[in-house]
Amino acid sequence: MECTLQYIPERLHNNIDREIISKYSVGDIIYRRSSERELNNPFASISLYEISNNIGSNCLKIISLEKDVLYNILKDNRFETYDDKVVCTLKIKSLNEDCQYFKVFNVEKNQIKYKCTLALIHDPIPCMYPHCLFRIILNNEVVVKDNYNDTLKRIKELRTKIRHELATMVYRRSIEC
Amino acid sequence: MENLSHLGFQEMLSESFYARSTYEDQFNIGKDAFNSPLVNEVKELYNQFIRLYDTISEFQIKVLTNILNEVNEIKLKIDPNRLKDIEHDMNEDGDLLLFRNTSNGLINLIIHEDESFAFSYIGKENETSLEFYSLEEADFEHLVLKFFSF
Repeated sequence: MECTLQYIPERLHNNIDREIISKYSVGDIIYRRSSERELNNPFASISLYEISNNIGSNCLKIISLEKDVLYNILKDNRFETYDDKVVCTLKIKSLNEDCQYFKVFNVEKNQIKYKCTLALIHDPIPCMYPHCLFRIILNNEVVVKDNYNDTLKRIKELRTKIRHELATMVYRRSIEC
Repeated sequence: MENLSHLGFQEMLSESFYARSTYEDQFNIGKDAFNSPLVNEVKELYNQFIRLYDTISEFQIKVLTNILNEVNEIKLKIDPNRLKDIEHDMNEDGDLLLFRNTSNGLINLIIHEDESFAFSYIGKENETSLEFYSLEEADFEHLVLKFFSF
């Protein structure tokens, strides 16, 4: 599928020959679109189902510029950039032995065990090759906006643990495994 | 919270040899809520929560009441400047937040709609902590002192 948004620079398009990034390195940059409210207290504002970001750099190679994360990439929206948002720059400070960010959170509630994983995933889309996200999987189900209320939202301790982890990233401007 | 005991408390503060000069400064600032140590200001803050957050639950009110009662109790024991920087918010999951942003880090009390609440500390460097509490088992005095200790 091709990018149909005219204002998106071609360097950001996901062309057929561009590779999926599966490994990261310490020092890599992730750009996050944030609000002042989120920067003041990430607990107040971080969503647990829309955690989109852009890969800024990967293994010393520049992938995108800071301002690129402010581009609107949704066709239904009638604006080009999020003028009311700011860019939050996260630097990768540590990774696991597979050169990835991947964490597991466990909670037991009413004798049921819940296992939740949080992973940084490169998720290129037609108009934004650098697009990445923190994917949440709860007991083998990917948490998205449509199922959030019936899944992660119901397990308060687990959602607060995940939010604490993401809040730590935003507060410290760093990603640590 | 009792309606009339705050009047006696106010009188006591203004006549206290040790506390008077500190709290006269606070009285003259004229800012609301936690910028003033007056008991009726804390009650006004409580009313603010009820007005601002119309989805606030009964559980959240109970936890908040316990917390604000302890804040009243410890006001004279801690640096009154630490009372000034309390902020509050509610996130999209309906969690009520009391928080402080200090030079050491970010401290949150996260009150879920029911069942439990949490204390989160994110230090500027390496230290973090996250603990969960129930209404029945929580030591609110210890929790509030911890909230102000960073």
